[in-house]
Amino acid sequence: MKRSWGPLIVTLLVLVFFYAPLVVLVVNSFNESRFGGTWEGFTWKWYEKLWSADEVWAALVVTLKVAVSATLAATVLGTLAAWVLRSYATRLQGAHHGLVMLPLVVPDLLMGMALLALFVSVGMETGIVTIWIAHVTFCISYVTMVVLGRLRDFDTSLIDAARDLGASPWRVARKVVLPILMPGIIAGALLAFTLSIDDFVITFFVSGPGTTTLPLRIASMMKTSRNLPIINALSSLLLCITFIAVTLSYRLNRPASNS
Amino acid sequence: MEDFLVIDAIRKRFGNHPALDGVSLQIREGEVFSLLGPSGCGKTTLLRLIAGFDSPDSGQILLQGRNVAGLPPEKRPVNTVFQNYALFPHLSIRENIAFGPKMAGWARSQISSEVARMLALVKMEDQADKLPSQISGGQKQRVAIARALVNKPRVLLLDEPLAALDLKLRQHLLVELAALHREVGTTFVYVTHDQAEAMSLSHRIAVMNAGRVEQVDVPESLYRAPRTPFVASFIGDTNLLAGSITGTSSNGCKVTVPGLGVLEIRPETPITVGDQVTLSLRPEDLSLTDGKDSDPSLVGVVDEVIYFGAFTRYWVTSSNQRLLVQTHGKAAWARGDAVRVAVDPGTLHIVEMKSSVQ
Repeated sequence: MKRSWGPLIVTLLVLVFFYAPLVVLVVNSFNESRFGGTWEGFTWKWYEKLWSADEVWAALVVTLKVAVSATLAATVLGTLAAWVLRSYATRLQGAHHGLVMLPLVVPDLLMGMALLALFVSVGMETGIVTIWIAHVTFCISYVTMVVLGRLRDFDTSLIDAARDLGASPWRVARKVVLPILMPGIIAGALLAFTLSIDDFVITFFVSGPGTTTLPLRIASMMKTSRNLPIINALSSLLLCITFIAVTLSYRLNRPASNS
Repeated sequence: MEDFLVIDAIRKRFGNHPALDGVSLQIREGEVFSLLGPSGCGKTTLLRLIAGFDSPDSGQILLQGRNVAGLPPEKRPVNTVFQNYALFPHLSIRENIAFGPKMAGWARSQISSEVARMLALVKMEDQADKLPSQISGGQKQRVAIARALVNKPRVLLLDEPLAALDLKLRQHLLVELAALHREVGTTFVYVTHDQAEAMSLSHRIAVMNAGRVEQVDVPESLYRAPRTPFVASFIGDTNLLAGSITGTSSNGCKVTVPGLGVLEIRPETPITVGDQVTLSLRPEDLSLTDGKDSDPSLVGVVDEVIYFGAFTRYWVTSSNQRLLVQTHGKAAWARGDAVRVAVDPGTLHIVEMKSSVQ
């Protein structure tokens, strides 16, 4: 049988399309050349410069503080929202659903401007708190969406069974509902975390003069080409960390997905 | 003990639909009591009310004299085997069975010994550490029963526990369920739409229809002496025929049925000449004889013959009445034969009566 080269070529094209930019970025982070057009030799110096770039680390700390706290709040609120949407059928069910899901489709630009207008009108000073509020706002919708998906497969007779066997409503939630929903809740939290960490547009509107997140810092560093290789180094580090985090969460989730 | 579990004038509406319309039952301690009826008759609603998942609009549920209608399910000494088993997917078989005792706060040693006893009772010792997704449907059903029984409930509620299984397995598990009941002696309330299941397992059966109880009786009486047309046709196959009382005889009265002629009947309730009645005639109580020399108005034609092995069924049309007749052995008559339908005396049964006296 004649071997077809078609699948191989398509695979290669897809790989190039997806990963060539990342490869260029990582390679350039070790390139002696400032502009990255040509290979001028291997160097660690951009990583050294990154290490001493205090403003980058300050921005990273802000980003992580916001991402962790916003993820926690959004996961709790989003899970509760999903549960209520699923459990209590009212005439306004459709409207409630729409209201919770709306932030998924509202353009970030609009969200950012609207939030800023709100904060200004109530006299709130923009800063880490306003960034946090904004991130919780849009993360809730994503968590709700993911948990609702998991809830669709949830057999409500399990709740009846648990109560029948003597569990109070609180223990039903703790011993039956939460453990079964946990993979969905974790997936929602991870999604919220990644969205929070790299949000630019909304954060741009609601951040204050003193507080800058990593995406904002990177954007402002882009204004001078001097910093370009440092950004490459930073991005490569982020890539590594993301890769490790995803691998870990996959490994952690595996036993749960067996059940 | 007649008043072990008393259902007293229970009503329950869902929107405009009355799911239960004044249901009263007395269930005895230690019996297998079945709620039998077609889907939508209210049997599952009644079971959910006994379990405590819903509360009745009015009426009482008395368990050993105590009204439990207002108690949440976790406070009632009853346990349920669900139709889909509702085993906790994240817990092993052993942990599933231990769930109730843990909630009740039993001592650890007592939990492990009781769970082991239950695992042995339902023959699942080898599978104890598997997850529900790793065992078969029949095994899940046994685990669901063990998980309920370990709590030593006063009443075990079973919601169509065999409905999700195939026929062979169903028959096998039915025998197991009967044996299990003999061993534990717990009062079983068994909901099913399958009359064969109810007949083979139950001590007594309540036949339900449209939110009401039609008849409560032992299986044989339901079959031999149905009191309503619904019960007669729901339990087994029957011929429901209209007749009129046309006279009296020495030990009963005479009823005239088109296609069958004048038959004798001993009614259980007072009856007068001229009354219109509906009769139930089981197919096996009818037989066929040669129709050649008979009164032409009593001669029928065999429309259809189906041979089932142990018996043969005939569909006979006589005076515009279609009758189902069942005889032992192989077919003695063929399609198109002229026959006369004979009734085994004493098997006629009145299921409905319209008095001519208004």
